[in-house]
Amino acid sequence: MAILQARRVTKMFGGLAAVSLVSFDLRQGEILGLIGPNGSGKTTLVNVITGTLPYSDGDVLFRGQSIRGLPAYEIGRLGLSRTFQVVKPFRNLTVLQNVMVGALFGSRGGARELASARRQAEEILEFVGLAQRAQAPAESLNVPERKRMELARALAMRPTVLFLDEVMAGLNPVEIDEAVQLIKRIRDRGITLMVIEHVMKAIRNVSDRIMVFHHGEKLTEGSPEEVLNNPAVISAYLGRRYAEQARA
Amino acid sequence: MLEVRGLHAGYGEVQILRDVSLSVGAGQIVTLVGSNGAGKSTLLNTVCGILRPRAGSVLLDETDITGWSCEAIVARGITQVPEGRRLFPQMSVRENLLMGAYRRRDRAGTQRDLDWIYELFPILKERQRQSAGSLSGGEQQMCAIGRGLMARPRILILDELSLGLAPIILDVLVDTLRKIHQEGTTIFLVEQDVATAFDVASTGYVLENGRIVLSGPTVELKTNPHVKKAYLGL
Repeated sequence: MAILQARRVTKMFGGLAAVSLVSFDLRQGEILGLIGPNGSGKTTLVNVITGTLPYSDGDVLFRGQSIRGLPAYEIGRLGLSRTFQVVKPFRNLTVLQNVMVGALFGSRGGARELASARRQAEEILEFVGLAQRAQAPAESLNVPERKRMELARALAMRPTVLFLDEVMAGLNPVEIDEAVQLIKRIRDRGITLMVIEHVMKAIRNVSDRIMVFHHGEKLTEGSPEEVLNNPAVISAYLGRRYAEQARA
Repeated sequence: MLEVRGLHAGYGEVQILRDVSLSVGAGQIVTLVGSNGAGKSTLLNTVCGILRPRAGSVLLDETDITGWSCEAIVARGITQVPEGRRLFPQMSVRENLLMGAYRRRDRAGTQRDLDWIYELFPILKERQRQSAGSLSGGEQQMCAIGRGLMARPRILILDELSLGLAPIILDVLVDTLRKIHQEGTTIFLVEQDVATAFDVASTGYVLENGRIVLSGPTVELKTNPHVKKAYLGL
């Protein structure tokens, strides 16, 4: 069953269609990978769905109800969370406090007092493997830790659907494997995910299905196997060196 | 051309680099790879004069530039394209490129180099009046490289060229880097994407916990069992 249905979503910037007539279903409990060249509209799509940017046209249904036009904070409380490519922590708060903000703000069953927000935040930090850094100032974290905190903040909002925007950029192969396992464990908690990523090894291993963007349009969607062997995807996105490595 | 000898560096109580030595010969492409926290950025900060080393020295064409100011080092011919691009988002693409030539006084040469950048990256010419903040990730990286080249460096240092880029866009940047190299610029590439780094560079160094643990021709490093396991994910 589709938990989220996008119908002909369009976003114009002046005369340029950043996202053009994009329709897709996000199925309950799946991990949908979203790939496409830089500038192809992936982040813009997430910005429109989560209420950061207004629509030019189209609609998105969450559990059958339109969420078009709702402000970002209401969409967040309905159960749609996201991470940001350039992580934006509260720099002067500790890691734990940053995650507590998400818990206090979040949807259904969210914390209404500090004590329960703290308990929830501690549980989530444990889950993402950042418990030992709970008391550190957010600005002291290194790159992989920052990505995990960004994930923890989004999870603290108790989302039903989670959009991850390049949480694996800048990680090494070992850290990428750990992140892939973490994303699968998030899904096992009953959260549906859409994952934007350029790290092919990760996207291949984590996605149930992959959707490909090109120039703001949906080029194709299908199983990782189908999509990553599709000549149109190779020429629009994966490129020559990927094809050479795949052959080798 | 660039030589780092026995470098020790760190911040406050924390020592990060321990006895790091490496060299980048004129006309070469050399890469330094390592994980998050290995000390890559600390090394670059030391080479570029942002951080003073505790011991050791940095030489450019046999001149000891250890402890020189950033601007003196740039004037001498080292330019860094920083991790995450660090463009001036409100300024236009053209203005960003010209900022790279900030300390140059040769107008004709500056204009010639600007034309050269537009030839290397035609999309930047198309978007020259757009604000740099409105560019896609790949275009921003092109603009950052262009800005670095506008200083006419003898050695161009790139920190995390591949970060957040689609494979096909990285292909384009790799091709352009080869072209820049063929036209006479020495390149020092600091990367986490080891497969790409070893594709482009002829010589490589592997940094772990602040020490160089391996070095040599990249064709040999590629087949090293430790590199394959820890960095290529094979």
